[in-house]
Amino acid sequence: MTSKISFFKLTINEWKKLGWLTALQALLFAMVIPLRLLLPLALEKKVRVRSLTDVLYENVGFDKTLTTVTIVAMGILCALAVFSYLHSRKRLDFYYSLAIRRDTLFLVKYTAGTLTFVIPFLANQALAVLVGALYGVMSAAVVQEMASASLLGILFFLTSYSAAAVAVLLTGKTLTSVLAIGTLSVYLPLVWLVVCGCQEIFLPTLLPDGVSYLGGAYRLYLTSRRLMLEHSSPWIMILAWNPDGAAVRQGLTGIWPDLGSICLFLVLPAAMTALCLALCRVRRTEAAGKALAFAWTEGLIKIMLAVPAALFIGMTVYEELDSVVWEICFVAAFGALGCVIMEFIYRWDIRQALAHKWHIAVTLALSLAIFLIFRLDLAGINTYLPEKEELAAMSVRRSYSDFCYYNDDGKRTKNEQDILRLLETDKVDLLYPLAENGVRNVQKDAFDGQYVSLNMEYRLKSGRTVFRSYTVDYDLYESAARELMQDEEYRRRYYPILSWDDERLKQIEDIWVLLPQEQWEKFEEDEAQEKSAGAGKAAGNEEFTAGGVKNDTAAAIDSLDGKSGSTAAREKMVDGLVTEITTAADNPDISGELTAGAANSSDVSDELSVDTADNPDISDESAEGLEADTSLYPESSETEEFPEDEWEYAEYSSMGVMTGMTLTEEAGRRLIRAYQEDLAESDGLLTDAGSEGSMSIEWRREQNDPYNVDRYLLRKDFTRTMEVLREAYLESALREKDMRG
Amino acid sequence: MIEIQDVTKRFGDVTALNHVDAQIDEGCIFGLVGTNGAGKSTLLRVAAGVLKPESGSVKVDDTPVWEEPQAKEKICFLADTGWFFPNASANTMRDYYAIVYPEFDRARFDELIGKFDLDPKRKLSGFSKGMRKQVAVLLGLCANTKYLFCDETFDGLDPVMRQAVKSLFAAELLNRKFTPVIASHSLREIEDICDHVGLLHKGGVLFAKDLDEMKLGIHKLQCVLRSPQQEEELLAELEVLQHERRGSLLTIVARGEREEVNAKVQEKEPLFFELLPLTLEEIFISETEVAGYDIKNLIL
Repeated sequence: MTSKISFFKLTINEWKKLGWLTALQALLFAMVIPLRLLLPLALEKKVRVRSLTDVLYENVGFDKTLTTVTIVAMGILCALAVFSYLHSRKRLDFYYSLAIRRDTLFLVKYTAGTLTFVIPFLANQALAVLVGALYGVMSAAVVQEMASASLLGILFFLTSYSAAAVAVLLTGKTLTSVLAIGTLSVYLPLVWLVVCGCQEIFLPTLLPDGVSYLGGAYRLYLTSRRLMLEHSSPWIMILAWNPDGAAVRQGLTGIWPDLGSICLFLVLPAAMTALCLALCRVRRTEAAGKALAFAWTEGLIKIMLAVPAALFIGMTVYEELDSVVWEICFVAAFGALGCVIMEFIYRWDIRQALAHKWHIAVTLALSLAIFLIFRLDLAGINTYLPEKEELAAMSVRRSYSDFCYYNDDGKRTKNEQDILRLLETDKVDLLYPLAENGVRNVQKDAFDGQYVSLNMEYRLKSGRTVFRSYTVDYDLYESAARELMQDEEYRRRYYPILSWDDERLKQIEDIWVLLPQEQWEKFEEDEAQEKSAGAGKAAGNEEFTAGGVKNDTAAAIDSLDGKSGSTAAREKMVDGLVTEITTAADNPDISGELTAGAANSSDVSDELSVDTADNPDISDESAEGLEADTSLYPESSETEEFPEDEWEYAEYSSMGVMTGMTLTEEAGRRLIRAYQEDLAESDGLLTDAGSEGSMSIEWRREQNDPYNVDRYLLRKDFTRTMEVLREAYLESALREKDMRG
Repeated sequence: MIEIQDVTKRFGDVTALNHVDAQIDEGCIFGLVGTNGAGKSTLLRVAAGVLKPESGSVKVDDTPVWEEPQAKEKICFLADTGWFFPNASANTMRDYYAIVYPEFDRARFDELIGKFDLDPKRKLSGFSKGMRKQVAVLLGLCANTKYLFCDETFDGLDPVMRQAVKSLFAAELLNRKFTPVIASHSLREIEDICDHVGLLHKGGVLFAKDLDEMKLGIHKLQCVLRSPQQEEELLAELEVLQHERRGSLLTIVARGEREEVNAKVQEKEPLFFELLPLTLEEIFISETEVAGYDIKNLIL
């Protein structure tokens, strides 16, 4: 049956009643959109450091964190305000007695709430266009992008608003609605952290799928888990969203957010609104005033919150107590406490805090069962060791190996399990003792020097594969690895650099070489000796004398710092650890931000749950450790050259003294070839103990691909490599001398 | 006509309505009385489509009321805890009612609000409880719905206003199809306006009858007879609902035709005899006692 009540009139009336909400949002978005653009434009017009267009691009368009956060917050606020009628018996008596279905009423309210956002938001976007036009920097492309960004902003709002509406419908009080929104936002990530924590602490041998290693020390969780986290709540999805690395510059580049993510934000609010309407139909009027709208959810939610809390406590006290009995007591106590707190939130009556004792019983049973499964390894994860006869193949890999491996289908993998599959060998007799040793060393610390951390794979004859991470006696590993490396085919599989051909060398963009200070000093001495030997031959190079090379080089570098039209190296200390090298002529704005530390971990940045590299507001604060993404800098309208003419390297000393210099492409190629030869002829063991330094090679297949950074250890006995480095050092010094001249 | 069929409504462990059956005919003023917690508000909320019963149904003119706009558009429900929009004035509410009740009579509302000497532009939050009740009743009346559910509406109205509202109800009854249902915990408050009354007690309707019928069929008499034997004979001959003896004065509440009761007493040649008017309260007490309930202390 249809109502004679006009949907339109009712919606407009409801919207008018929400005037305060419209006004509030108008004010907030005025500050976040047009004012945020106006103030820097006005300032820039006076100081004229950058172009006004650059300022415009920084402040309008896609992926503006402040705007997105405001939109998300307004979505939540609107839902709490607009649907507050669901928490009031008086208002429900009034509204539900009207000749209008309650789902229609919800839609009326929903639409009115949406209008409170859409009108001020779009008005402020229009004001921003006006501001840009007044300063003469607005273009059709930017307006088009702003229009698209506005539509995306509306989708973000609808997503946040609908999700918060679901929380409001599931609860009967505003306080519990707020708690529900908070819980829905972070519940899955927190549970995930607790589970990962329990795995790391109690099941150190477990090597889950999707694990990668950052510098061998820190586990990172790859795509599937990252995707799970990024999609763990609608609000996180919005905040984690980025237009595929194309942030900020869409107005220039014409790169737009991918259709899939836009469709996701179309489907998500639609699905949640449909859920809201379904909830409206089944939600009882008498739910108003109760903590939760559906009584059956009380126990479920209580248990779902109390169990992870109890596990978290158990995990936390494990290190301190190391007593199963006490740990059980803590888990039980905090499980019960969680239930009591939840019951208090439900009833708001301390006398009823112990009501529903079966909830406490279930919580305790589940918490203790899960805790003991982890704590006592009841599943036998740590002690798993198949019979040797059952094994068809095994593989072993030190986690401290930062190479890029490619699957058979040509796709790069950082998944430790995939890499172990690539390194399979049928030399079970050789590797089995490592596994036995690993099972015995479960509680041992791999970082005390006596042991080494290994990841292993068992491939059983049944076809099943099992992966484990072990702490193994170093000597045992070394002898096994030495024997494995005798096999040239295995060695090529283990060290992908051995297979690099000319095509791959062309894909290299930068090389960083880190050597101890003494080694560089030795190069300088060699150079000085060379100069002495050749004195008189090099006319005009009178400063280039023994013992003065380093100072001269540094002076030359200083004089060229960012000013020369030719290639220059600039040294800068950052926290005493990171050196900065720039190719000023090629890309002065971009390369100045590249850091050795950042570049070294560029293959990591895309694994972070929120890719801050695509988020200019965040990345400024967290550049260290992230991939240097040129898209961060909107003012540059030029695309990065690929590949660059010159490779760069830096040296780092433990004293924090750094110098920087450039390496020609030809020298870089020689360096890789020399390294290949040295590695092929060596015993094949690259270990920290015997290393002299490291070489990080940054490369990518296509310009829009993420960077790969392969890090190979250098050894003193890699004489060809060291020779190439020495030559390159001398060449570089001479080049700089020439430039100075 | 409103038909309430086997309606049960529970709030957790509490059964507010327990298999309630009732019928409210068109054109009457139906009083729903009962103690606090008897289920009056719950019954009205179920009837207005605010609450969904666990079982049973409420039909308005043969249409189920739950989530049926066609049935609900015939009802205006004035809840006991009336709610107005924040910062709303009488005019604001009038405008909203005009949207949600298509038959709303704005002119009449403006006229009545003037007659009741209420400022239509003043914020309702600044009104007294009685004044807000008046506005609520006027809004309900001007909604021009066929049925008007008033939950404790007269509570808080002064006697003058109560009479004025009763007059308005009476006028509405004359002018159009109008059936107000008035819930109250006080019989005295509604006895002079209702012509049908239903008594709710502990979630059930004890009875629902025409008030005049009840008044005509029940009589209270006081008499002094010549001998105890005659008293025994009289009590046996009459359909006695209640009797009391104080000294030689015998007070009887009996069911039957007035003439019949009168004749039977006169046959005994009483020394003193008088037929007294019955209050609604006494009728209820008598009826409920017959029904097996002792609710003397429950109804004021």
